[in-house]
Amino acid sequence: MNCHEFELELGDYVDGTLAPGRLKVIDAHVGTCARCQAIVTDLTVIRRAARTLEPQMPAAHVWTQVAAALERERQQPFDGFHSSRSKEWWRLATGALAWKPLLAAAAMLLVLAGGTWMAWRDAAMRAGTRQTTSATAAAQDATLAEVQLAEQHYSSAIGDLEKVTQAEGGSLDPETAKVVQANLAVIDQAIGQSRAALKSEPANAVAQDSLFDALRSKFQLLQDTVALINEMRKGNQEGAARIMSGMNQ
Amino acid sequence: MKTITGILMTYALAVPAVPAAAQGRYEYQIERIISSALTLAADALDDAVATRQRGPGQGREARGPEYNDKFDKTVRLGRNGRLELVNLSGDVAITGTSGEDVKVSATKVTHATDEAAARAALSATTIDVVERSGVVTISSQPTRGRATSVEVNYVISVPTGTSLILRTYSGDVTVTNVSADIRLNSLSGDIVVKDSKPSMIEIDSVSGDVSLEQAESERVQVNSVSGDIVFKGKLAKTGRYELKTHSGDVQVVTDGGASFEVEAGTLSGDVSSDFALKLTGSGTGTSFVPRDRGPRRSGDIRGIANDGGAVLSLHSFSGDILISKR
Repeated sequence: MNCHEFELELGDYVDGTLAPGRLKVIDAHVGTCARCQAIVTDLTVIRRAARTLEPQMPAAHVWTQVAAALERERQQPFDGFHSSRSKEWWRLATGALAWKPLLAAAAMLLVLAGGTWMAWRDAAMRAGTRQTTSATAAAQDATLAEVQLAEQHYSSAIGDLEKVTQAEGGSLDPETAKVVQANLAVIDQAIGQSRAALKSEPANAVAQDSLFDALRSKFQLLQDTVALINEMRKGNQEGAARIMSGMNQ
Repeated sequence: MKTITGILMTYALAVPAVPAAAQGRYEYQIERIISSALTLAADALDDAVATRQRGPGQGREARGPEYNDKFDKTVRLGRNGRLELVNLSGDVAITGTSGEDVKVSATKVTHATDEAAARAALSATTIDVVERSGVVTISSQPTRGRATSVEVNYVISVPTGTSLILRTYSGDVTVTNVSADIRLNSLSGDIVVKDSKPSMIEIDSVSGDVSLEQAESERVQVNSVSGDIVFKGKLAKTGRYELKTHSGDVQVVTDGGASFEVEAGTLSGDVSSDFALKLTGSGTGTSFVPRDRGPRRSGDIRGIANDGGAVLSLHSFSGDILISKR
């Protein structure tokens, strides 16, 4: 096997979640490969740094400011789309500059969510280890509390985006609104099922992954919907066409 | 039934998820989340009931006869350009061909009780096809304020080496004979990629099924929430195939002599394989008996078929995982 094949497992190696047989193989390779040693060092530092991050909630006024910025932006003429090599679909749909305030806020939320996710994984992993040694109820309770806290942070970010979609959702055409609503319901179902599984088994990795995958899906869908609402709300023929086509006018 | 179940699950689980200590701080957000979920659920229930009452495929037709408007445009892209497309409603079919042009044939469709209203809706939806620096951008957009319910169905031919970035909300997507990167993000509607050799496939879907048929690629990543995921084709020796869905099934159908390493996990579904697997994880036993010679087993497995090589990462929360021979 070459380094490329090992790379995929270095994260698990650092997290200590590899199976014993696999751990021995990776361990042997890392011991002789400077490149993989460097990656392991980087991952270890990142992981350690992430654990020291304090959960932080965006203040309520952030969203007020975002809404105000959006309103100001709505009233200003479109000032161009400067990236002709956009790679993300939402840039195509929304225009990067037009959504700078929201994207900045969303990026902040994603950083928050990412840190929360890492903290959650770490807590759950510790709980898993504890389970194999002592399996105390106290440890499980502590893990559950950490999981709930992490989920609350994520849900709060989602809730803030929901406020925007609820306030401005009338700008969407009814068919599109129904599609969005139906898919949000599908995601909510996934979130509910994952929560239920985690409640009975807090350290279950499949349930954790499923919950965060679903939360991420919901966050992304809401974020995209907010962008789409802004587009619809403008009702500006030329501006809409420019934004949708990503033209640099 | 999935939707109705979702309603009940959402409500039942959202309320007890609020810890007492957090009620003061998060009370408002939690209330809004619950309120939102209930609103969505009620709407979804209404839709389900309405659909059942009128039968499948009758939503738009119920608003009157169909009116449509054709659109055709051809632009020069080159052999290795990129196509970006956003479509809110309607099907998209993209086929790779020889040549250097992108040929767009689109049909705007709406339903209305009178022709004047239909024509107004159709004319209020513009289709833009723009070529710039090796990128063709296609989008359809209502141009007069609040959107009207117009779907746009695309049939597009592209040079086979064109990379694709597609975003659709509602409608099926079919991609055929494309050999460059494919990135696709979809809410509803089924996705089929077939007879293609893309260097990379990345698909995110919420509720549609995803099917990769005779799609040979070294990097495949498919995520879905409720859709099934099927991969049928050859596995590249250095390929990586990550297929993940929450409540759908995952199926890989490949050559009988294929060599791969697999990590497969499901919480409440089953994992089964036509291939004999040498287990490498911490599970019980050292081999995984093909399904025709032994029982299925639940949970996670890590194993190697033949000499290993391709990496399969297959996960579902509640669906089944099946690896079978073609």
